[in-house]
Amino acid sequence: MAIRNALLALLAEGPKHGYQLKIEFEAAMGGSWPLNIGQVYTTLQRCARDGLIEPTDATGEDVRQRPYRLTEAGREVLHSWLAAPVDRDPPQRDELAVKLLVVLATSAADPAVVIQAQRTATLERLQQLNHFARDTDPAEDFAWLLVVDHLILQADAEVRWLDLCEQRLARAGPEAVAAAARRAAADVAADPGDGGEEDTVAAADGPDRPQPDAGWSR
Amino acid sequence: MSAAASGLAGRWVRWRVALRLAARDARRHRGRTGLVVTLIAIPVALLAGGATLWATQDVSPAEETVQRFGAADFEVRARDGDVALDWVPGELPDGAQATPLDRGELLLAGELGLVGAESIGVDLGASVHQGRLDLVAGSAPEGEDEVALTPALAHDLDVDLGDVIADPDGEPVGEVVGLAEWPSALPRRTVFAAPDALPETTRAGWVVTAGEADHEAVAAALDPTAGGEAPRGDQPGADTPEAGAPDTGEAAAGDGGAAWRVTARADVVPVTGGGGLAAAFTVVAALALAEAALVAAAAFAVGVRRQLRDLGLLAAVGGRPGDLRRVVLAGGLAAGSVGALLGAAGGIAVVALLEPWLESWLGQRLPDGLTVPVGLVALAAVGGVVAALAAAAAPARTAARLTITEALAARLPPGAPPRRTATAGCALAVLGALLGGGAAWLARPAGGTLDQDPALVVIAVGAVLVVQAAVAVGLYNTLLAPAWQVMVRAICERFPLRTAGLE
Amino acid sequence: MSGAVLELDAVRRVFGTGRGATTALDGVSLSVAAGELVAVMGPSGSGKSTLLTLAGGLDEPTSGRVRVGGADLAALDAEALAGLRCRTVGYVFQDFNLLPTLTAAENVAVPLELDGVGARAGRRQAHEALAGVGLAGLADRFPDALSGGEQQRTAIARACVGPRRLLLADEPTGALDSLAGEQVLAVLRDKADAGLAVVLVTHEARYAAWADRVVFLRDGRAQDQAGPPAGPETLLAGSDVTP
Repeated sequence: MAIRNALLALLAEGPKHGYQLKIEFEAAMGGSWPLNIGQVYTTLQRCARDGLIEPTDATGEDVRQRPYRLTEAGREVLHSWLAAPVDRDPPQRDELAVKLLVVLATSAADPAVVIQAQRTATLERLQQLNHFARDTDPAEDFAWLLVVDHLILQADAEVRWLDLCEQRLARAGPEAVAAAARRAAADVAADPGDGGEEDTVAAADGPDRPQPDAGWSR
Repeated sequence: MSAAASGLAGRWVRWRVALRLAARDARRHRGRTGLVVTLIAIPVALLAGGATLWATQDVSPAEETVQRFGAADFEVRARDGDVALDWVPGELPDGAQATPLDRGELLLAGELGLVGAESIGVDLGASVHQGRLDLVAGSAPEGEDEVALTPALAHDLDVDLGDVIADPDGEPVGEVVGLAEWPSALPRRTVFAAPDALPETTRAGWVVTAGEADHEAVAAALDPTAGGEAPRGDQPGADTPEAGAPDTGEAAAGDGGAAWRVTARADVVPVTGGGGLAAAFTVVAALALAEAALVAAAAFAVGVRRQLRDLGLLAAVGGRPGDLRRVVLAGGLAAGSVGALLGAAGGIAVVALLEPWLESWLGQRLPDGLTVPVGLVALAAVGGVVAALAAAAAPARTAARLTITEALAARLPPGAPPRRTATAGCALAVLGALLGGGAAWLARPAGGTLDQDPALVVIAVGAVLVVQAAVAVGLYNTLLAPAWQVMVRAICERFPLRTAGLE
Repeated sequence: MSGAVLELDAVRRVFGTGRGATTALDGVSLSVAAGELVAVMGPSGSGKSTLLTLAGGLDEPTSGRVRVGGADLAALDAEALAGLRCRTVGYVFQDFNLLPTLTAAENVAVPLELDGVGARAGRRQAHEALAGVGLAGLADRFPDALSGGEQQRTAIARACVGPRRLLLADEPTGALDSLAGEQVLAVLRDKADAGLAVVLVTHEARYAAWADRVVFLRDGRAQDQAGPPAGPETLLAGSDVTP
């Protein structure tokens, strides 16, 4: 979805063909998101099918060579995407959160060890990211810097969450948490109630891995 | 420690750091600084002003003699004040001269009723009287119809030059041709006339100048001839006091009859205010400055509390306990110096402003004008600075004992046990009071004269030191601090402080 | 060990006595060499600030040894400790770092003057130090005319002036926004690269990331250590980044 909307934004400047769009997209992303040209053509085809873009001339050329332009419908979709803030609901499932919660519910491992191990690893990752950020010249690689900042702060947020978990655990005591989880499971077993909610769960492999468009929750 | 940090140069640099910090802090807290400066300035001003006033009104011995004798070398008068002198000068060596003085009493008719005055028959023009009796307006009266008045009498009678004064029956006494004054007794109401010009005056005495003649010869001529017999009645030669005896000494008692005495100018020993006054001065100074130091100490204690974080920071970057102490002491030094200078200057200035009226208040001419006793004023100023330093001493010790972590958290360390300081302070205060009281008692006027006594000065100085020590030990801490500090804080909080603006 | 500027050897610090005693540090050992930036992280109450006050000689350990530049702090008297703070160890606090009545340059020059350096030389060194942290034009401003970040950088300049070898920073970014915090960290990193040993206490992971090593403290004990990292390889080689 993000790629589609980004391409629409690029086309708003004027008609472009696929290869140009790939180059411009990668430049805008500061080199952090190399695109497969096949991906680009697939996306363009889908956009054309949905009536958001149209080829500029109908010569029977190879689809790859044809420059496309934005339709009115496409322009509207683009404007509403730009105007509305990015919606974070429903939230992505986080593998770390799942891991920690399961550990708390089942006492399969010591939560303190899990927390500390993750924290150490994230910090080492942060040290690496920090090196990247320091080596980046804001004048030349502004987009790349923003991306790295984003990663850094996400990692920072993760560490902060781990700190908070630790503090809350210290107050509540892990046995209490496990007992609460067991009670909750017992309640559900006794009274099924409404069948499980329809979550749209994103296939989240972790925050730093490639995320193909199709796997998104929206 | 680096070489630069030790030694005199290093010490001066550290004092400079302390002084700079203290000065900036003083500027920031104008209320508290102003309070301390005022507390020091007021006693110093009173002391400096008092000393200046005393020195100004204190006529020098030489001047006193002139005001007493004029230009004469000897004075002959009846031994019992009011009795007429039945004596005339015999043969005097060549060059010596004797001038008579008559005295009487008069009633005069003035605008507002009868005015009594003394009458003096004297040759006002004679140079021998200059300094003792001065013509200030008009001319000397001659003959029977002319008189001169003291300005005080002229003011009472509401007459001026050219007017005629009369007795209660309306009979004219004489025309006022001149005004003359007694420099040593300006308020005296006197009518002057030529000798023998006024009725009902009696011979009061003679003034004798030796002139070119030998003093010894003249003195011998005025002396009675040797004979061993006490002279009687109106015979010349009654007792003369031994040369060298003070004027107020008792003459050898003669039996019966009018007697005269001869006073030689050279033999008059002038009265000196002397060491007794100085001792009393120091005692008063000590007490006044001790009072100031007690209140100022509370102000410095408040200051140290406010400055705790600054002091902690200073220590954290390398300040030694001595440096912290210096910062507080520097504050005392700065405020004390400013207060002492302002006080001294102010006290002297006030007396200088009042100087034109001093002579009429004292009833005496002050030929020397404004006299500033530099020694006493300097002593008062130094006392002020010492008082400020003493006031800052206990808070300075507290500052030196700060631990950094406590200071940064703005917490004071636990102080010395209060009972110990209180006992020490009380003991010292009692000792100081005894010394001060003893000095004051010893300095009391004994028979009308105040004698210079080095022991008194020593005792008084000791009292100063002891009282200041009592303050420094922290008597204020236990007895007066709570009340004083409430008051000081109330004063200081009326002046808004600049906030330490950390964003 | 011999090259270490700061050495903490099984250091314990207990506050109070008897029943009310709290153990702030319980046997912590740490060694920091010249040119190293070490971050200390941990929840509040973990003893990080205490560790720093002990390292700086502002406080005494209950047991264990603290060595700075090879010298055992316990063997130093009050004067020598003050000299240590003057010439060897620089301290940066979270707030209230500067004397409010002195200008920035005067603040930076204070430790020099306490050490006996003359006024002119001190002022010159202070201006150089301020230029070194990017505050060249602000030397004559008073602290209340400086922003939070500028104040912290001035404090760092003061903590580095003279022959200092160890810099201790206690949450220096606590009151700063992200950009100002980054500038402060960049300065600390520069100082470390220039040869100082720097110990940074922080609870923010992204600032700890500037360090060569991150030490975790919990309940007064050193738990773990992150880094030094293997090196800045190409982080994103062959993978796409989540938008």
